[in-house]
Amino acid sequence: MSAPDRIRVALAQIAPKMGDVEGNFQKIYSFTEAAVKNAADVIVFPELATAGYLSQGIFFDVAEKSNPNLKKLAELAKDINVVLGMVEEDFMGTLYNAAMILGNGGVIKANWLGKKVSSYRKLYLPTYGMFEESRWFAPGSGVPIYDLSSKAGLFKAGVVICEDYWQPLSVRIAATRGAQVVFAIASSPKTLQKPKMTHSLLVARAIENALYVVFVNQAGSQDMVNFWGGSEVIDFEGNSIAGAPLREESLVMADLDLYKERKFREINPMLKEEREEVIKDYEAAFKEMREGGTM
Amino acid sequence: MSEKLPDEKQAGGEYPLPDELRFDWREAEKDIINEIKWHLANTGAEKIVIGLSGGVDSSLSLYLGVQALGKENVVALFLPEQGTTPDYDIEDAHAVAELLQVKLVEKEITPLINIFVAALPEISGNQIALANVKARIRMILLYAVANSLGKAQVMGTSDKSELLLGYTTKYGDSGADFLPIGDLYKSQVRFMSSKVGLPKRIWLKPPSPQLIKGKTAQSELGLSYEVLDRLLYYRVDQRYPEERIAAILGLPVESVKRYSSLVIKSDHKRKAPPIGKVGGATINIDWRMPIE
Repeated sequence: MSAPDRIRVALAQIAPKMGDVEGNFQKIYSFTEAAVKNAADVIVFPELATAGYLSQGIFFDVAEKSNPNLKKLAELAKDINVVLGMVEEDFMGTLYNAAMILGNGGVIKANWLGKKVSSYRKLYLPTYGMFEESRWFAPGSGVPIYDLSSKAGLFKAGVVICEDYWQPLSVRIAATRGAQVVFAIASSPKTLQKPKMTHSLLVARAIENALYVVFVNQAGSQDMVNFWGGSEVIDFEGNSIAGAPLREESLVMADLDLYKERKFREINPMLKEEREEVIKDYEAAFKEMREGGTM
Repeated sequence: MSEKLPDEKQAGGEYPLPDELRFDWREAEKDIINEIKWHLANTGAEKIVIGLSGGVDSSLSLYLGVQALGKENVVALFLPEQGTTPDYDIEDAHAVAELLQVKLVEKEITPLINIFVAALPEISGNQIALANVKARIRMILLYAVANSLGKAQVMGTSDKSELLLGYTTKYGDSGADFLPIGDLYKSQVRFMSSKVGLPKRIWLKPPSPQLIKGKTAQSELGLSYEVLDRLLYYRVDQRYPEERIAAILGLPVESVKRYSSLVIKSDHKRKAPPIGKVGGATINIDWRMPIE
């Protein structure tokens, strides 16, 4: 199958309600149906779309209550890929702040270190200030790469979750594994400074990796904390080519020109420029910092 | 006191906010309105009950509540005390209610205070005990009205300066279902009030809880909010040590330490009471749940 020149992405900026897994899935179904009608190849939901972000002890219930709904959502996902931020529970009873991609009527497996994996697990779990993710979740270990089908062929995509894009490496790893698009899903609590800072970060991630960043954030408010929405698509030159309003629920469609991205990469070989010696020096510097050399 | 008050009853002008505390008030206004709307939606409530005092905190809170829910879903209670509530507050409470087209329910609390004093004569000689009784009587009335309305919540009006300094009555004025302006310092509340068009006198007059006749916040706290807010900003938002703050503000280190210590000591007023741990699922320690 050839690589598509264009794909259509739906940004599903929803406001999940804490503790209402069923209601959240009903919303996920209706947004997915609307995206199918709009001929989207992918619909992207925010981080923890099944649960809400500040759910604390409720997280324990979410994975189990989600399972029957995931089967139904997979049936809906015959003609569309669904990127879903969710609580994943493994067979050991460990919870993950994860993303799963449903498509072709089932769960799409991703490739990671020669293995097939069913989800992306958030790498960086913020545990400072208002954040306490390490209390509830275990971290993931790497960035798998997805081959996703569109109406015009297969394309490569990666997923990162919120805090992951505040660090440069996760998107860089996805790009190095061939991602043409990175879905950056979030539950970003609003402060007066946050939208501007996040936009700047996403622009940097898109430019430094010469790819599309599809940012989808939660809307609404939980326990008097706003989730600011502002979902947007940033192209490889750092332009915001589509965007959703602040705070409110919204479904926004965006067409991504992957041919143009490919041509842009020929002229701006950001990934080809990367050097093993620099990566090794970074690793050495990191070890020095951990061992107390620079801290 | 009233002769010192600015007599501007019109809106206009801007409260002079210290540079450190400048903020995007339009965005903050939208944020708070959104939080109020969703808080009610998520909890299944439809109306709010608010105690309006004629002061700047409750006036701005009322304004935000009306913007979020519409005037028909907001009930304002004015609960003056004879001899303590100054005439200008009575006038201002009515003026704000009229401006925002909210029905104002007025109940004089003096007879209720008298019942408490008659039952417990020892509180009449204790200014703090009596002041707290007054604040708690108001809380009881606000909740009684909310309960009688059904599907209603009490919206508190404490600001960040008061909350941090513990300049509130536990289960009194801080006794509420949610506190929409609790992340704004007093100076920021006054600034936002000036920008959204509340009458000048509301945001220019010296803040006072009006629990003890003639006392202002400054006379009780020892420093003006203009200085205190900067002190709190550097200590809480920026985590600066007391010595550095003293140098920036030109205050004695001991004074900064006193207010810094007030913040720590008053933490109990901002939290649910600690529960003695016995089992493995202690409420708020192990069993942690969201409010909404």
